[in-house]
Amino acid sequence: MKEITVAIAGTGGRQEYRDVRLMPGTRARDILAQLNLTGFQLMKPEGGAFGFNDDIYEAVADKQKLFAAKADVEAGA
Amino acid sequence: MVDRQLSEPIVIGPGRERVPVIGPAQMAFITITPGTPRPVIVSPEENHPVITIAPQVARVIEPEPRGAWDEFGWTVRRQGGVPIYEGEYRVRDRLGHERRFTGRIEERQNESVAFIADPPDEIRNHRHHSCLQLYHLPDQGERTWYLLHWRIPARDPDTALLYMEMMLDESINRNHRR
Repeated sequence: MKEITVAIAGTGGRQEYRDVRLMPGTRARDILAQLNLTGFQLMKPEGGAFGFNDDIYEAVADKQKLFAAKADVEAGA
Repeated sequence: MVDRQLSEPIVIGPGRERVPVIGPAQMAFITITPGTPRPVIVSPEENHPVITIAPQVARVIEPEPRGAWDEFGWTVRRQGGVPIYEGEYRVRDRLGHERRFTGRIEERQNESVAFIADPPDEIRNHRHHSCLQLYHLPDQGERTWYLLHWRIPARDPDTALLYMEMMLDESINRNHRR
C-alpha cells in the first residue's frame, strides 16, 4: 500500500486530498473516479500527464504528491 | 514343700528382661521467630531532585498547501500589476535524464499565458508545435522565447505550467496521447 496526496491544480493547494492510499494495481482512472475528479487528468511528478489506464501504484513513490489538472485545456493556433 | 512366706505374692510374668520402649524421639525443637533487624527504607534522598525521563511528543510539521508552481520551485513577482511566474519546465526523457527549459507564465485578464525559452527541437514533432509563436520578451536577454496560444485557455498558472510540461513530455518521449 502506498500513500499519496492529490492536489488540484489552480487552487493554490487549498484543495487537496491527503492520505490517499493506493492498493497495487490502482490506475489513474480509479483515483479520478473515486475522488470525483471528472474532467481532470493526473500529472506526472517529473512532467507530463498519466494516461487514464496507467498504473499509478507502480509509477509513484510512497508519500508522493500528484497534481490533477483540467483535461480540457488545449493549445490552438 | 515350698519355703515361702505367705505375704510375698508370687509374680508370674515375663522374665526380667529389659523391654524396649519405642516412641517419638525426644528431639530438641528449634524455634524460629521473626527477627528484629532494623528496617531499611529506600527512598529518594530529599536533597536530590527527581528527574523524570520520558519520550518526547514529536511535533509534526506538515507542508503548507502550495500550488504546482510553488511546489516546483517557481517564483512570482509583479510587473505593472501583472503577476509573472518564472521557473523551469521539467520533463524526464526515456533514459531517465531530467531536462529543464526556462519558462514564464503571465496572468493576464482571463487566462494564464505560457512562454518557453529555447524549446527542444523535438517540439517540432508535436501536433501543437504551430501554436508556439516567436515572441520578444524585452527583459529576457538573448534567449529565444515562444508564447503558447490557447484554444481552450488555462485559467491559472498551475494549469498552464502543467500543460506545457505535458506538451514537452509528449514531444520528447513521442507519446501523443491526446
